[in-house]
Amino acid sequence: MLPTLIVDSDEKRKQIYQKMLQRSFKISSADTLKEGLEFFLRDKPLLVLIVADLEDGQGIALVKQIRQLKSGSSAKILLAGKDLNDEILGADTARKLGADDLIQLPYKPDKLRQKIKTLVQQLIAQRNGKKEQAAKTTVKAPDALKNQAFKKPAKITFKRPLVETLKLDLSKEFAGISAENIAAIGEEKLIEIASLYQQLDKTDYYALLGVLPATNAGVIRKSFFKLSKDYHPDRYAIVGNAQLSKKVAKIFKCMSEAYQVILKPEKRKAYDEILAKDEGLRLLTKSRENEGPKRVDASITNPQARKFYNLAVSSIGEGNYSAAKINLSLALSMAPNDATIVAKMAEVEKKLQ
Amino acid sequence: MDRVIGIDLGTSNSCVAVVEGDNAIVIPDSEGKRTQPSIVSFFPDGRRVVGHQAKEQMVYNPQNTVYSAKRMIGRPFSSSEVQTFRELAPYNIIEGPNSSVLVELFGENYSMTDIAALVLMKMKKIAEDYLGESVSKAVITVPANFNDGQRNATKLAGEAAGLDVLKVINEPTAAALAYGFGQSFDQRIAVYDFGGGTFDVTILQISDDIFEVVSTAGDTFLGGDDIDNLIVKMIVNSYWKNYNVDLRSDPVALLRVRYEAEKAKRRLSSEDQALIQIPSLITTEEGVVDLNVSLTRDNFNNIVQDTIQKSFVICDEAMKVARTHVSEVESVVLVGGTTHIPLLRNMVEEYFGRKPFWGVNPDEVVALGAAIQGSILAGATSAGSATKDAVLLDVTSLSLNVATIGGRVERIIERNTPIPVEKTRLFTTSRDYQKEVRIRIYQGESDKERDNDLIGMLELTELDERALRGEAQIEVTFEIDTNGIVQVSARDALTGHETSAEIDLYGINHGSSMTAEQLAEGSDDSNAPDVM
Repeated sequence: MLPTLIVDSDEKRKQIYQKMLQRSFKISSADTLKEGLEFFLRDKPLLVLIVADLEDGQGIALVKQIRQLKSGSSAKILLAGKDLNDEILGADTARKLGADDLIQLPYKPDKLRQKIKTLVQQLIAQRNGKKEQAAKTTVKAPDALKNQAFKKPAKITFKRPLVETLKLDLSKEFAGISAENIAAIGEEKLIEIASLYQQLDKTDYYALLGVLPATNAGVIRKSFFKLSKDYHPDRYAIVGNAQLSKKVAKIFKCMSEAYQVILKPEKRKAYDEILAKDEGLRLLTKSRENEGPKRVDASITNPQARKFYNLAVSSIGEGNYSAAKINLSLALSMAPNDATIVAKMAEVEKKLQ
Repeated sequence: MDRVIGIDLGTSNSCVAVVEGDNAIVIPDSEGKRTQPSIVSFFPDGRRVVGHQAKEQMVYNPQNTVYSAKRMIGRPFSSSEVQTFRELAPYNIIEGPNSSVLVELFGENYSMTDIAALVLMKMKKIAEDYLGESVSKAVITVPANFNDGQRNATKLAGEAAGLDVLKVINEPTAAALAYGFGQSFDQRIAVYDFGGGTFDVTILQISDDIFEVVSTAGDTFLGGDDIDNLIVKMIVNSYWKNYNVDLRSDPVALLRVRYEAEKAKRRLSSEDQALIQIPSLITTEEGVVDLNVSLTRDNFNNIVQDTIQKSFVICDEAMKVARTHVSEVESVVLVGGTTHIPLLRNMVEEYFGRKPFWGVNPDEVVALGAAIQGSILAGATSAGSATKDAVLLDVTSLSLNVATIGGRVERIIERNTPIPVEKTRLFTTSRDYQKEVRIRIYQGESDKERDNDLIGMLELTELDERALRGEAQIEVTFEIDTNGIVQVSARDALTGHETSAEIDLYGINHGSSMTAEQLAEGSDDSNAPDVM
């Protein structure tokens, strides 16, 4: 129900409006100019019916006041007045000040209904128009970005991974690193590496590659390549610092994973959905893939025995327990103390009883 | 800072290169030869000869001349590759401890890693002689489809040769680097590598000195050796027809035929006809028989066409994974001696719809790339080196799997995943009070355990033996580093302790069975007289 405000000092007339409109509209009514403004701010009506002659002033002044408000631009205002031809307070002025329509008093109910209907239709159209406008804007944005990318000069400066730079002690982060190496690699870069390593869990793929989430895949690829020059483990192999090698390798593996996920549209979509849920998952490596843990035996060391054991397992799968028993006996003959075989044999013998 | 050399340790031939100033150059030996056969010859007095000398006298000393060690390096004795090769090889291949492959020579046992180390020592020496300084750092290349065991063994061979192996890189990636480094390319290329032992094809995207491997595929049973075998087979068959003699019964004769067949093959790349002449090849009831066979290029083409065609089936596979159409490949880089064959070049041109890149010698391109990678690694951290820099975004070519029940394996890391990469999985016990868990780790594409290569076993002991099954929570992290080498670590997720876990190259001993001193003894004497 459309929130509507009626501002009229004439109580009787106001009652008639109310009765007429209350089935379809959510009515609040004000007696005075002052009240009218108050109630407008309080109830945020979309449709306002103001009578020109109010107890404490001219309705037209309220029109002006409402239009001056930020929230007052979208409401539809119908001004009802006795003398709309008045030069100073007439129709022209009213429209200039922001009234959408006017109705002559005394009004004819049909005329009022018709005008209100028109205003409501305008409101609907306005609302849809806003939606369309919004939709159009989002469709435009990627294109605009695309064009921007092409228009940009050849040297595109990519952002570094979007992480907080932490205050870290390089000699602790990369135990044993020499001063020459720090100078050769660059202190800034080393701090970035150490900071990123600590915050890997909290960094999503986009931030890791230094791009915004809406960026197109081609740009992300270029960013990954550029970052590879700094983060590929080979770069630091010669330094021979264990911590450095380990940290860079871990970061690069995550970047590589990010690159692979974002390049494939289905994977990217799935990842974006996970991010939207915001359950704290940033890196897919952190998610426990598939079901639960795999069950593993103590494993049979003798390959021949293992072969027969596997055949027995297949036989069990087919329900052929006597064949399984034979295979297990053969397996046992080669590995008599193997706990796994013994246990399986016990199982099979139970079934055969 | 020591210079870093790049070594292409090939199945048939090896090459060493270095970056000198702005360019990568191949380092020739004192006779100007730019590649060395990957062959080691042993003598009763303890002397050894490596390279051209070894190859030249190979036919006279077949039981003690080791060639194509790369076919077996890093493989267990029981593998089909080793067993097949054993049938043909004139030298004695035996099983060592932990399934290792050894060759027995004059009462001493050498592993394949030792043999590779001896070849690497030769290449190291060539570099040192040329540069006039000692060399201690190297980048060594391996085929893209080498598994963890093979890579490790190669790295260990380098170390046994006295080299600090900065990185083990894939041959096709090295070739791409040699082709595209510093050229500001932006293209999709195919590296077609038909070497002595294996074939592989790799699709890469080069963007401004970023070399991104998109996909790789290969066949470890397809190489130049197989083409030699076809010629040998032809001769064996015709001998059988004409003289009722099976040449395969005489390994020395067979070796001589193979040697000449290879020479003829090379000759046919530039000539229309090649004569294969071997006097006194074999003794029959009629007496001593010579071999005189003329092989025309047309004949040769007929014999080898189907074999070369197999390589294009693999190209199809690589392109499919890369989602690339032939027309989108902007350049085809040829690698490996076999690509000298004119028929092959024609077939490549037909398949890709363009002439392959002619600019770098296919025998040398890998070593040059390795040298470039070496100089990048060495100079990487010096400020101001940003101008000449490249990043190799390589992938793992084999899926990493763990054994599950019933003789099957489950994938942990897919092949063609960019490296470095790590994946963590949770494991638990399947029985009550289980004290240990052993996880067998494989590489391969089959889902059956027996069709995969076992690369190691993770043993987790000292689990809480009061725990019921399913209660233990062991977090295992599988990592593949930039060398393509697998590292595994385990952590008890409940306590946070790194559980006692050992990744043991179960069943395979990749190490050198000799000490460095033993290897250095009896070192290469290039001036050794021919032994008849």
